[in-house]
Amino acid sequence: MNPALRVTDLRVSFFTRRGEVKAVDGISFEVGRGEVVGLAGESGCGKSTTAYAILRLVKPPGRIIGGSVYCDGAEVLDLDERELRSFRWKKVSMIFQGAMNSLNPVHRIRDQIAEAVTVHEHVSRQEALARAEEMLSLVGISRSRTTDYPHQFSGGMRQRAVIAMALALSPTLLIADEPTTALDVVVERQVLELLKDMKRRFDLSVLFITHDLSTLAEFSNRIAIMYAGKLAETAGTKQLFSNPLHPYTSGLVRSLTGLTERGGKLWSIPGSPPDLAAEIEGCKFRDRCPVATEACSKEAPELLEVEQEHYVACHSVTNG
Amino acid sequence: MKANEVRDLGEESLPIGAGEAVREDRGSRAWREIWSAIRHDKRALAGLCIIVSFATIGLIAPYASPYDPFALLGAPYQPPSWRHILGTDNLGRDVLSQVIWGARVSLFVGIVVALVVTAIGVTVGLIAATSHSLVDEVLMRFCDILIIIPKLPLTIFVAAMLGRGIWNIIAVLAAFGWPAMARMVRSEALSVKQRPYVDAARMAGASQLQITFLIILPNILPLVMANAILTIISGIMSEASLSFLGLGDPSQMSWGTIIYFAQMGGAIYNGGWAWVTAPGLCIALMGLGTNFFGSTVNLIANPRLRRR
Amino acid sequence: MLTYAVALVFIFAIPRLIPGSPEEMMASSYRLPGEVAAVLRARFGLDKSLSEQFLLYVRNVILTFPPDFGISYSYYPAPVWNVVTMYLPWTIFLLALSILLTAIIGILLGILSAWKRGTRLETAISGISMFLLSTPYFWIAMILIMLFGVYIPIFPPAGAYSSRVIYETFFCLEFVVDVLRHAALPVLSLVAGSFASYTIIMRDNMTSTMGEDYVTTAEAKGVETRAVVFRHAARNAVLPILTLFILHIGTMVGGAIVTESVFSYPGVGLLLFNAILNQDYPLVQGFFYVITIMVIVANWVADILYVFVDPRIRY
Repeated sequence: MNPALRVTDLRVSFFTRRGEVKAVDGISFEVGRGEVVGLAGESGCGKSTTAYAILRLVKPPGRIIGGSVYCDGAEVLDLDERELRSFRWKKVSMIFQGAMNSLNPVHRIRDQIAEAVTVHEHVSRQEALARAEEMLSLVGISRSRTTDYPHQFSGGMRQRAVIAMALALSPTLLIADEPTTALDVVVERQVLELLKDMKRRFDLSVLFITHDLSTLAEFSNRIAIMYAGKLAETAGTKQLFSNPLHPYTSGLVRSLTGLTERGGKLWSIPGSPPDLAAEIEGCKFRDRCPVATEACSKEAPELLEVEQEHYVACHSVTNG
Repeated sequence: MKANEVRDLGEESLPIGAGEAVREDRGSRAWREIWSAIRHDKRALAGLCIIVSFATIGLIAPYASPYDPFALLGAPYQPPSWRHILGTDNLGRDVLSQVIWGARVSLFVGIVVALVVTAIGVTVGLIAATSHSLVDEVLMRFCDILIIIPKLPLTIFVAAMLGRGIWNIIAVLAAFGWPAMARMVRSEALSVKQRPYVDAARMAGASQLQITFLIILPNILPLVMANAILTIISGIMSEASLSFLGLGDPSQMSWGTIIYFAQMGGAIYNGGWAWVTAPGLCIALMGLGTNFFGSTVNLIANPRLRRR
Repeated sequence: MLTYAVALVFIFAIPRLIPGSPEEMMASSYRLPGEVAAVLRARFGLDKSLSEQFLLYVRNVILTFPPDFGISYSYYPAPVWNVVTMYLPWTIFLLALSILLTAIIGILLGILSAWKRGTRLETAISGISMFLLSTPYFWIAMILIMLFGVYIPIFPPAGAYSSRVIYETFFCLEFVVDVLRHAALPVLSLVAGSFASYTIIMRDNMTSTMGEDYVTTAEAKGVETRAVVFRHAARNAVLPILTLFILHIGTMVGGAIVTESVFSYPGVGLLLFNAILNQDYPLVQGFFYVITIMVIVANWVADILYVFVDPRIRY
């Protein structure tokens, strides 16, 4: 079956005064139809850049320098201007980090959603507005509020409006970039439930980007762990949590604490992420890795299938 | 008082703990950053060059100028030639000499005005930002009124009142120029006041005076400098306007007075195009230089404006 | 409102501070004997005490309409108000046209230079703007006269309209064309000297606005670039320009005065100038009053516009 999204060896670099920063250094993954794939990692590991690259929104000094993004029968990196504009939002849409700011403060909410419709389809303004209101009521925003301006909405309402806007054209894939990070736990719960509901209703494929593994635990089918621009491990959710193979993943899983555990210190992975502008030989995680060997300083490990649908990039794991 | 001096004077007198808080976001680090950024930015360097060139010309005017600008040398309205590179005016005076001396006078006025405006503006702005809200209100209302009433008519008026003379002009320009600086200083100072390390310093026991001079002042200094530089050209232009209207000091040949004489002497209709063009071009170039330099300093001092 | 009151007091006070007394000035210019000076003094009410004068001033200016500033000393016996209103329309015409054009051109160029950042077009626009930013209005005016008035005579170099021609009606086409031709160079000088600040500020605003999330979202939605720039970015970036506008009016008025003097344009600029030289208190007061009112009204207009343009203030 055709996957909703297939990313192959994607490379994105930022060319700054300090040199080339390899934000995304050759990652490959797939998102199947109706599947939720989580992309997790620390801040700065390249997950947001990956999302931007899929929609070709990477801005200078960043540039996509290699790889392929295949979605719904089209190679995204080869589309021309017009095709790209038509592709955006219709096939793949995105909820940005800090959705509050995704809404233009001087336009009414209803108009911004209608804009998404009119840009892609030849419908009358009336119809576009009607569809906008329909979408908004789906996410729980009443008709009377649809003519408001963004500043009149609460944070949670704005988040919901942004979701409505993202789904206005029933896209194949929804990319959610840290949709719950800026929210308090109560609203976070509401938004997650809404996303689950929408996924069911629209049979969405979702690429869920976050640094919070616990959110992925309940929402995603598969998880890909990113570190310093490369993928460390990808596996089904249950598998990842019950049997994390990559030292980084096991560190992450270990640092999550259950509500029922008592006492003891909170565990965290020692050290900090590497400087992506510096050229590092071998595995980028080796300085923080508890099981690093000599091989790890010489050659960067490849992502290899170790178990059924369970890929890891680590010498210690693949070489026993 | 330079930022470095302030730091050396004050640090020992601060209560323990406040020193750490104060050192966190320091003027001195900013100075080094600014200087290196200036060195690397072509625009700022160009601006600095222009400013320094004009300043040098102004300083060595008595030696650089080929003739006495007021000397009646020969035929009027002569076009540019090797003897008179910019030609002569309607009285036969050499235009190039006038322009060179003009650099001296115009820059003098501009710099002095900028210094006075900065001194008054910073003082008033800091007082407003760190005082009781009533004092603040009163001061700012006063500034607003001075800002709202169109500057030129007012300066014309007062200048006419005081009579012609270079110091009168400087006084008038400074008197109407400081409110804008005060407003800017106040708003910057207020935003610095909100920052957490000010609270930290206060909690560690620093007095209001120490906070004002050791924290707020060094942090607003880059912005103040940028604006002071821009005030120079504004002073030069205002002086030119006043001189053009005949309120300038006729005994001093500033760029503005040259244009005044050009207008009075009918330069446009008598072929004196160099006479008219040269002084204005100088003002424009000087303005270009200060804008390049000043706006770059502004960009550095004001991270909000930096390109993402 | 408070500003108005304080401005009034200010306006009253300033002319009184001029050294020398106007009636002597007048008397000497007409070569009248000293007793006549005393009579003039009484006639102008200058022999009353300062506070009485002030009360009279307040009564005449605020409580009557049109504001009665008394009789102009130098245009005696014409009342100040009449003198001012004779010259005011031309200045307003010049200012209105210039401000409008400056804003439009400045804003558009600012948007353009932010959109095409890094291209030669942007460098050109920035360069020209920076250059023109520091050129005095009157110098631009003189250069324009040289270029287009003398060497390539397209536009007339002086006056508001051809004084030697008589027109049938007031607003017939030829008159309008003539007026516009005469206004071309003055307006051009004012616009050339002023648009740069709008351009630079608009460009800075646009640069920061274009980095905002909602602009990226609009792009992600597939909106075409032109609409992204204008409908999303510019629409937000233009808001602080209104504040600039308020501050700028004062400068424009100054520029108008100076430009009028170069072009011998019959506006209030020259009027003020001569009034000051002749120590014509009432005329000076009248002038400042009118100008200040104009600026205050412009402020109100800008405040109202703000409400329309920024929905965050409305609700």
